[in-house]
Amino acid sequence: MFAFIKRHAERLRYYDAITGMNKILRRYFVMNSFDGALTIFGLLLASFAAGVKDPLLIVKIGMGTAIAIGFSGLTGALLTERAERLREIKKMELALHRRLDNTDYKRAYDFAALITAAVDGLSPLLVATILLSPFFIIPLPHAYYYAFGLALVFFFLLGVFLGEVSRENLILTGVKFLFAGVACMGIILFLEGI
Amino acid sequence: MTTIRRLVLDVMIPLNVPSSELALKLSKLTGVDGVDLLVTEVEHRIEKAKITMEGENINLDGVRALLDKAGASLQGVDRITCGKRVVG
Repeated sequence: MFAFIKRHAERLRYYDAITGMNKILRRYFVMNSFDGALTIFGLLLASFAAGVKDPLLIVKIGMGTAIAIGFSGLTGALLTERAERLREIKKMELALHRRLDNTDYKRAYDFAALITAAVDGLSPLLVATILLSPFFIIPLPHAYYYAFGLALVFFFLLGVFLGEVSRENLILTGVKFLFAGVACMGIILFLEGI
Repeated sequence: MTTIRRLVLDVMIPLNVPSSELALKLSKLTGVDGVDLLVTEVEHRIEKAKITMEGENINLDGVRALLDKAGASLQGVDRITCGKRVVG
């Protein structure tokens, strides 16, 4: 079992060295989970302002929206990444004067396209499930408050994660993301008030 | 039985394939005792390298297959030393 994990970890590391997928995955994860979180956050705020009191309805709409964002991410990333990587392979084939079918090189690029699409598709779904989780266990209207709290904590953590990547002040980057969420909240509540 | 004891290969490797990994993989082939990979030229997308391998019984087909699988391109065999002992 350990040898199996080690072998696959080595292969992943090798694929990453060839394709640089680590950076792209990180970028896609942050971008699409932020997209997903902000969308669900907006949806919850609007539901709250409109006085929706059916938790099942909120979960259904929220998950439907998350699936749509996830599916858009999945297909979009799969097609664009595949196209980009195919272009790279063709250029490399020209430089090497050989075909690269059935090589680890090509496999690395195929794998990178697939995993990128998976991360792009699954991250908003995962975030939506987390943000909607209070509606499964806590009665309304408290579930709203917990969900808003979770969303704001998530925005902050996403900022901290990016701060860690860029080796910046973690609190500052966290607050920047948090501000984006709060600004979104302000606009939505203002518009709903009108 | 005569065997290949030393090989010098002229190889083109994609720049993003770590040549250290390639050298390590070659050194793990059966019949290979040591590998030296010398990058001779770096171009826009590829690097050219001289790979010297020594061992008791180097399997040229195995070496070719490994290079092929890694995405490298074997340009030619520059030197091949066979026999009971290494000459030159």
